[in-house]
Amino acid sequence: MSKAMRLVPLAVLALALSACSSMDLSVGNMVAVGQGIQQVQTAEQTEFTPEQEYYIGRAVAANLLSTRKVYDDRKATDYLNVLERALAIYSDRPETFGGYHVLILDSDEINAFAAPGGLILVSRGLLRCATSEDTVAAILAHETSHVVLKHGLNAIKEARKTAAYRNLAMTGVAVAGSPELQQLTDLFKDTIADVTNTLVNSGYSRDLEFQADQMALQIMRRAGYDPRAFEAMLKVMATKLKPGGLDFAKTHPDTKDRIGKVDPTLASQPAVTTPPQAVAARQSRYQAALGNI
Amino acid sequence: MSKICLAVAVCLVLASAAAFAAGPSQMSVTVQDVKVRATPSALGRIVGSLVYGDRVTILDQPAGSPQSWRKISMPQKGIQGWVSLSALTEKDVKLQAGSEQVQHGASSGEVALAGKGFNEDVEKQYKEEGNVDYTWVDRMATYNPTDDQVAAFLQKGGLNTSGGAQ
Repeated sequence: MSKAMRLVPLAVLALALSACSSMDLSVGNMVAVGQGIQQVQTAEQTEFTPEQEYYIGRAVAANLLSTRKVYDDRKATDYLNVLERALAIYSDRPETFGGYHVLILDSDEINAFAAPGGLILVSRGLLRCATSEDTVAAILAHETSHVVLKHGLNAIKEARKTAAYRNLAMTGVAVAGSPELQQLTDLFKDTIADVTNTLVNSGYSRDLEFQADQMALQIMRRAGYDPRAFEAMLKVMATKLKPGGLDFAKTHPDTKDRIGKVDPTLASQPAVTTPPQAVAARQSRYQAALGNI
Repeated sequence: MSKICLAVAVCLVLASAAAFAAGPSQMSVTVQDVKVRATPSALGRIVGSLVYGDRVTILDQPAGSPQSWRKISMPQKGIQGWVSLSALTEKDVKLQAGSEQVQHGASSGEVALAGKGFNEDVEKQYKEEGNVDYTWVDRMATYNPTDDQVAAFLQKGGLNTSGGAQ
């Protein structure tokens, strides 16, 4: 056999090894099929799918809304939803499973919540801190960033995530009325409690908030808003937030610290100049939609 | 003969390396629904719609960074155009997690079974047990501004009207 001929099996072996390296060899073993559920052992899941995130987000938002009143002003809500879409398309995640949607909370608190998947709740109190469309954009860009970065899902306790991933990897479809569905629902309840508790009580870590601030500056700049409005928004909040308050004062880093982190970014980038005509157009529609918020 | 064999061997190795270096040739839609656009822009002309689980062929992608759009085709629907990468996954999303699917024992790297885990049934049971009201959540989901509204909003406000185009 010539040298070249001897190379053929080697090439085939290399091809096979190359293919194997792209496959997960630990998967594919089928296990027993229970009465209420079909099971298959697969590789370990390492994150929630967008569909799972969607159901978690819906439940978190429903929970938050169970103890909060909605400010049902269609004009203001429509304005915020168009603005939100205008920002989301310039984010790193313009599409989520169910899309981005905004609702106003009828509360004087300075507060906002971004449920996983893109359901954003913002209080009248926080909207009153805004003085222009650019500052409202700053609020929404920050909340959008929490969704893009999946911070809500990060709030789920590790043990719960492991259980959920195992469940997602191991099960087919839990049939209505089965013990498996009950098990999943119990896990779901605990998962929702983790996220809601973080949003309402403990807040995200300082690092995650700073991360969302930086991404918000980026989204604003891409959309054409002046990122300096973000800092202006923080300065207003600093004057209105009361120490010991149950709103942003409790769940967010001190606004002075946040300003300290955004300042270098703003200083390092060219200013965004808005033509007077555009300033007037934005101010006019902002006043029409949120002037009486 | 030996030269031909050597050439075949080299081609095989190179071809395999190229295949694994390239991006995926097929992807699946991982959101409820997404518009297919004539251009890589969130405000580009709509040429069709895809829904969760649709499997598409990846045709091309624009140069430049970030490469957040993919040119796709779905012959079954007669659609060809651009889709935001955030709406796609490399996994093969299977909508029917029935016995046939399960029997094959697909790996999670290859397949994401839709409707698995936290799903509509779990939400239904959660609602009933906790007496949780989803009225406003369902209403929120209907707040969907049209492309025309968003484009006009951006244009009148002197904002970026590219729609994320690169």
